[in-house]
Amino acid sequence: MDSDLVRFVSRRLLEGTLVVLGVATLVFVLLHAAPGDPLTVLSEAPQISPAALERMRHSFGLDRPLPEQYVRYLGRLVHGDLGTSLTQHRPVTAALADAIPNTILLALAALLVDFGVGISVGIAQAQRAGGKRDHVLGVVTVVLYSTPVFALGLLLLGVFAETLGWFPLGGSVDPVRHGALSLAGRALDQLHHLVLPALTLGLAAAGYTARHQRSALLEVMGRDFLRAARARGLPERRLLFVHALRNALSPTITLAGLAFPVLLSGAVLVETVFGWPGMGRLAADAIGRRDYPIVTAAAILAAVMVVVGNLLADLAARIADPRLRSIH
Amino acid sequence: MRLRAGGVLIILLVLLAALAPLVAPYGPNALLDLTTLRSAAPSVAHPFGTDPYSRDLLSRVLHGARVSLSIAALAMLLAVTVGLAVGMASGWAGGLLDTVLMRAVDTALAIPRLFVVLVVLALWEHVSLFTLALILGGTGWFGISRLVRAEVRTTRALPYVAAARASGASTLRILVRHVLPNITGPLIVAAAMGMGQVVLLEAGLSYLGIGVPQPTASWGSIVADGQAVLRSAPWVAGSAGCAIVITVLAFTLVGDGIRARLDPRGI
Repeated sequence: MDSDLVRFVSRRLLEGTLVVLGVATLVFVLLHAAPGDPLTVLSEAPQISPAALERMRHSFGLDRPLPEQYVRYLGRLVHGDLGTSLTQHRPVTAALADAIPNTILLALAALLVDFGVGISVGIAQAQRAGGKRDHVLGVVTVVLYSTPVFALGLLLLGVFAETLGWFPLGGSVDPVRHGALSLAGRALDQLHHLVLPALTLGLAAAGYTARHQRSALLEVMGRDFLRAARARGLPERRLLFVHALRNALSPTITLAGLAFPVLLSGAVLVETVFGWPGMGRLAADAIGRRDYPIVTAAAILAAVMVVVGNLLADLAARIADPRLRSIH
Repeated sequence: MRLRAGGVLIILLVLLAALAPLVAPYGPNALLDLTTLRSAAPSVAHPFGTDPYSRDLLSRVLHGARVSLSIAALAMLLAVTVGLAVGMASGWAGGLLDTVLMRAVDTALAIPRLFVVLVVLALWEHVSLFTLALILGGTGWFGISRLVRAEVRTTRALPYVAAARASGASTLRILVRHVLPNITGPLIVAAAMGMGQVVLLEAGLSYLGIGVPQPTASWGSIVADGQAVLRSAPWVAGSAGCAIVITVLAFTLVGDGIRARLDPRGI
């Protein structure tokens, strides 16, 4: 472990903390810029008297000056207190704790599909740039890129679940059998439920990854060291897979960090299509019920995930490309 | 090729959207016959079929184009204006203002866009179509401001900008007359790509039932209407789904086409 790496990680962690602080501040500003205050929703309920509402305002500290509320709000966040859900009558953290592992599982599986398909297609296109295969795959990727993720999900759901019956219609596990299964059986059951949502989310993102990978490869292929290698008579296959791919890989790994926010946004829709019990679906449902603490907490946690995802991607890029290690 | 194909598609879509009340055979919300025309298959009378409420899908998709395209256009206009203003201020001023603005933009870029929109929609109850466009535009300028800032910083170091300043041109004049023409190309590409993304985002929100309110026809909500009858009447979700794909594709092709023209070396 070199001190370079330690310095890099600690600097990025500090930056990430600042970003999350900024996001929390943005949420606070939005909360207070919205008409009424957070308890206005409750005032519509007839069984709550104005006096009771006033007491609640006082106990939540909503009658204090804004800067003081801001400091208290941050203090609660630091202690992991994200508030209480207005409809589930339990802490937001408890509601999210059930959902977050599902969303992370879905996002990681989708990332695997995204990069597996995207990079392979990008390579296949760059092998014969301008050829027939390149054109056909180019059309496929641009159509994928233009397809709304929920429509793709419904298409896969209609074909592979409703018509062919190969996959379950939704949910993350079989509600009846799951409890009775062995450990391996449970894992398989969940995997079976994961396939369609992960394919949907991954394929929708793969269009962009493939386009990016193709142009990154072509950019490297035009460089001098590759012309030199070609002049030495190295086979085209070796040029592409050994020399060009290695150099085009680090921008793609960095792309994985950027793909994370896109995947999380997409997860909101995919989770709704497939009834996948994740954070995005929780947040989307909470809007209909005006349960804003869930939504704001989900946004802050999504930002945390993005920051962590970016850090991991940058670390991976440093491992893949030694040249990055000397730059901070 | 791409540019032309995309351009023709966009012109066609805009024309259809503008003329929707004249072209559409029925009203978008007209319940034609709740006993016999529920989820009817495509036919001569109803080329796209009807939805579970017996509304004519062709009419709904055409009117949906009006809603989707005008929201997207308004949102992109706002995003480009704000992105241009922030990017220019940041890139030209440099120093503390630049640092603060770009840090703020980085922070905003760290939240998945859909979550920002969800927070706003959770807090503001009744959102009109106009407000929805403002929300989508207000969350869409971050990337553009980064792009503009980068271009402004490159341009401001060029000799002709120094010459303009030496001959007494004001900052505003330099920005508008000398810097802006240099960033128009990348800006148009970003705007075209952004249009596609806003169409997707609005469709996603309307699919979730929190974007364009029912019963106003919007492509996303038509797909949602079709979800329950996915197998028996795939044309409901299918017609609106195809409309979304074609529209986003058109904008992506135009963006790609212009990018290829700006940079002849890139393929």
